[in-house]
Amino acid sequence: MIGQYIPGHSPLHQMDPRAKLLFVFAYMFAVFLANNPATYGLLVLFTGIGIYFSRISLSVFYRSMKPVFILILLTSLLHLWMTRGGEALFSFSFLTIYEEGVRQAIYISIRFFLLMAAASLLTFTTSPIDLTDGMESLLKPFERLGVPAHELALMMSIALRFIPTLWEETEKIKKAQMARGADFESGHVFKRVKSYIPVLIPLFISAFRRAEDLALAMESRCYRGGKGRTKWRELHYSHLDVVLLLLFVILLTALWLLRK
Amino acid sequence: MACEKDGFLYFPKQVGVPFFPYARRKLRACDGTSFSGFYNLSYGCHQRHKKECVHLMQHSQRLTKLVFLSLLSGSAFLMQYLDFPLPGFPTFLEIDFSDLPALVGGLVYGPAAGILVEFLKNLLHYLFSGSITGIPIGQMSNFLAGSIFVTVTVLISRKTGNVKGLVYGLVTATILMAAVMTIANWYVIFPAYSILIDWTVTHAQKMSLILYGVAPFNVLKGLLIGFIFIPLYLKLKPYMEQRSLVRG
Repeated sequence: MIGQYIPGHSPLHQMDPRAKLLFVFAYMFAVFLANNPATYGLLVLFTGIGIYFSRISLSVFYRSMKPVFILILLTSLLHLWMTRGGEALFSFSFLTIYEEGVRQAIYISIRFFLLMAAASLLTFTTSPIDLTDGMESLLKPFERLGVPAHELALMMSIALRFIPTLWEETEKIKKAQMARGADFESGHVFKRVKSYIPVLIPLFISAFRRAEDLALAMESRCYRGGKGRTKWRELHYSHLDVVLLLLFVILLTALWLLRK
Repeated sequence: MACEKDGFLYFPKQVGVPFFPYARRKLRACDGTSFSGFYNLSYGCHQRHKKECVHLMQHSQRLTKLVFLSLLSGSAFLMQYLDFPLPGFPTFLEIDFSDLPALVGGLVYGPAAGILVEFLKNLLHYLFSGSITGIPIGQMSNFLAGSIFVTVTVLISRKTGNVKGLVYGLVTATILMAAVMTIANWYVIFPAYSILIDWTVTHAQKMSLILYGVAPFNVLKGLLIGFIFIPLYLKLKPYMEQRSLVRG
């Protein structure tokens, strides 16, 4: 339902979630280094190779990025129209398109595409549970400063585990209220918002109950916090992660050299 | 041999705890209505054992709180998808219910819990839908607005502990949230967007967007959430109070 993870065995799937998280974080900054055709070309090539190695079909990518296309289109049109500079390429009464505007529009759309592609590659190839595990492990060093890494990760995984259940429950309550004559679709905003009150009350009450049940179940299995707790799936860096690091260093150097 | 004090029978050191069930506690504590009943022994015991019981109970209440807050963040995340675009506002301003779980969490477990729910909600949202700019500015501003709203409401309504206090809290929170978000939009959020996606807005445009878009939007959002939260609070009050009592 929600969540974009696509199971698979590609090299990108097998990389360590920590390495992928750090890489995507650094990559988002690296994208802002690009400022001429050569650097943008390099980044597009790099992302293209990433998409190829993820073994995820392009149609899936297209579907996940469709909502953003409109935004990309709008922003680039805005730039096409507003940016002035260089030669005027085309002019029609009030509308004049300049060289600089075209360049800006193209760059902005490419930058959007790159950022979206990197983020989706991460969520396509890493399951949410792996992501939380990776975050916990990355936050571990900050535990001394008072960051509750283990608790945060536990809360994230509980939330992730229960999102489908909560969704199902919401749907069930909604249907039950509809069977009693509730109407969620028509009317003005205030009326529509108000019609959700009978859905929210049972939802919160069931959250109260469920929390107590789950806490009791965890207690009776001797959950005692993060200290000394072992893991079913442990994270290990592999040679693939070293390759990723090397690739990133090469990319960064190349960007720095090609940059104007 | 044994002395009775606040519903428990205490034995002197030499005697120890009897192995047989001693049914003489008030029914209230072990009838299963309160969560803590599970951890109270059904027979009298030594002070040291009682301390251990209290320790266990506190531990389990901490865990219940943790689980409850994560369930609230999960439902807040879902509620973010039930959004209502308002007619007459720019599309990036949408109203949703995702602050309601944070309010419930805040009223039961204090303002920090509300802020935690807001944080997890936005983290989940970022994990699932990403951000157009890569760096989650939209989520950060949502977190800022939500945290201010929840903290102010909880702090004020806890002073009085009734519906009147809650109404005052919601109104104050709405005004404060709108004020802070207007300032934050002017100085931080709009400039950040203009750097990240080169979305340059001229001074006059920015002025009109903030004065006629962001500020009334935040006021309206606060009022709508308050409008829906008050009946919710009235219905949930017994449940929330039960938890607050157990906590103490």
